[in-house]
Amino acid sequence: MKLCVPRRVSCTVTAFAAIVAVSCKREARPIGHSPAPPADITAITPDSGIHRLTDSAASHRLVGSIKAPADSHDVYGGVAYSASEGKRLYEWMNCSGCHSKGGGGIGPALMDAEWRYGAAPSQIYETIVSGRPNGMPSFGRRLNSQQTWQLVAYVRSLSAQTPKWARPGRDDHMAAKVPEQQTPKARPYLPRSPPVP
Amino acid sequence: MMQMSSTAHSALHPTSSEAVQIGNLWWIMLAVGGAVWIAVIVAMLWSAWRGRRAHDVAHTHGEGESGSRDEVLIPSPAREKVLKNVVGGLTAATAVTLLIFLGFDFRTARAIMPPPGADIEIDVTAHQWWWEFTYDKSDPVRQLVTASELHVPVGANVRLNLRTADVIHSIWFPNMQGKRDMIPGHDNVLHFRADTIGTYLGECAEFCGMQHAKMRIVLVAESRAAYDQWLARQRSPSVPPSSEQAMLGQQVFLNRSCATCHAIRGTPAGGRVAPDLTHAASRSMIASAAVPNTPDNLRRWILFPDSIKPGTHMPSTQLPEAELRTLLVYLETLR
Repeated sequence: MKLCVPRRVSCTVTAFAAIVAVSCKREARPIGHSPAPPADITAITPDSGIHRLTDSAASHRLVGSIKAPADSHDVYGGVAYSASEGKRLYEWMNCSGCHSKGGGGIGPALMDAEWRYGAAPSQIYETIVSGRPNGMPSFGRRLNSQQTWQLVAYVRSLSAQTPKWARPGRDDHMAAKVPEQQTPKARPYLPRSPPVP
Repeated sequence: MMQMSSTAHSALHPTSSEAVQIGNLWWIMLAVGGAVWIAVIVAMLWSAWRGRRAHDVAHTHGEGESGSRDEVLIPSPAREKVLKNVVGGLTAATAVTLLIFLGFDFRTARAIMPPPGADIEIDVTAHQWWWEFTYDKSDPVRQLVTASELHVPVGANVRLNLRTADVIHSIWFPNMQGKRDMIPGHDNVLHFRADTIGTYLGECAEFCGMQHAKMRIVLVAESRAAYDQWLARQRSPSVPPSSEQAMLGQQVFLNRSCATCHAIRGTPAGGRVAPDLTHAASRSMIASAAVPNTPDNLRRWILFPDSIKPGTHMPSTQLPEAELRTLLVYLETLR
């Protein structure tokens, strides 16, 4: 018995399957990939344990087979799970204490186009890990590299630098601003070549 | 995990008065429903065996379209009258049975209504994917926050104030009571009274994310004296480390990322987003009763939590081996 499928049905099914295959990456979760150990931890001193940028270069290699450096296609930025975990960490690490929900306060706003220390993902990573002058604390000893990259993805989503479908769509608590998915894109200055670590 | 509980982890092994009532209702409905089911199956099989008899039809006549000889069956009016009465009678019987069930349901609901006062009041906050218990929340001096292991005295009316920190969860102690949801923005209450000393399991009964299945509670129902002793112990600050290894381990805890999220009373660690570890070594299980509390499991939990609970919020904390060893020694002292 020959199964006759009308052409419009087979075309629709193929188109649907193609869309599903492409969009599956949105929900890819790096579960089970443990980050590389920090390179320079020796004795327990107040200054030890700070992740260097070389650690971030090592960590991105562990996520699947994506070879692009963390600056350009932004391994964590294109995944919705990273932004939503970053949003959770934003609350847990009390980033709102200085940056509010992105509008700034004691600290600068994160949803605008002005980045004092650079808007590239690796620069944001360095900001979180080592801290910056004028009051940004160092979180290198508090977060592992995967968590930091998740925060980077979320921070970039606050100014809509990441793809729309990878940004959080709503707040888990009372909304203080529009969700990141509907935030208008700010246009920060990004140099053509990635910054030297 | 089953060895943990002294009673089978089942709603059909009640150890509280509420669970007995709920269990009785279940057995009644099973008996009646089972009898109805057997009757229906028997009737179906009998009718299949019987087939169609000649007196079931009034007459037949053929001559359908396109010349073929089709048989048209016209049911006999007498037969139809009998069948109408049978179906009508069975429908009425079904309605009566359902009303009887309703009566039993009301009776059970009345029987498990919460008593006017509560002897013990515990505030339960569900997180993804662990449980936080606060005893004496209304008293700032005696307030005690613990996680994952819930102790109650037998014979006391326990009232649980249920809240959630993130998404909808549901708390369920099959041996003790029915399920009760914890809904963001809506505070719920659950009452039960444990009647038998023992260790039971509770779990989350509303899908809440990746580790919904491994979000369990160890419920210990014990004598009043044992409960008071446990409470006093939990209320005390953590045991200061005495050995050198333990002291180094405490330094690891405070200087690495542990203190960012966890609290140990008696030390500067005051994180509130993760379980309180002040007396973590007194608990029989870790990771919200996912695995037994052994040094090997603890080591695996710290280094690679995704291997125990994939997707957990506990981050993978890569420590040098020497530091990890001292940290484990310190955590073992937190009884």
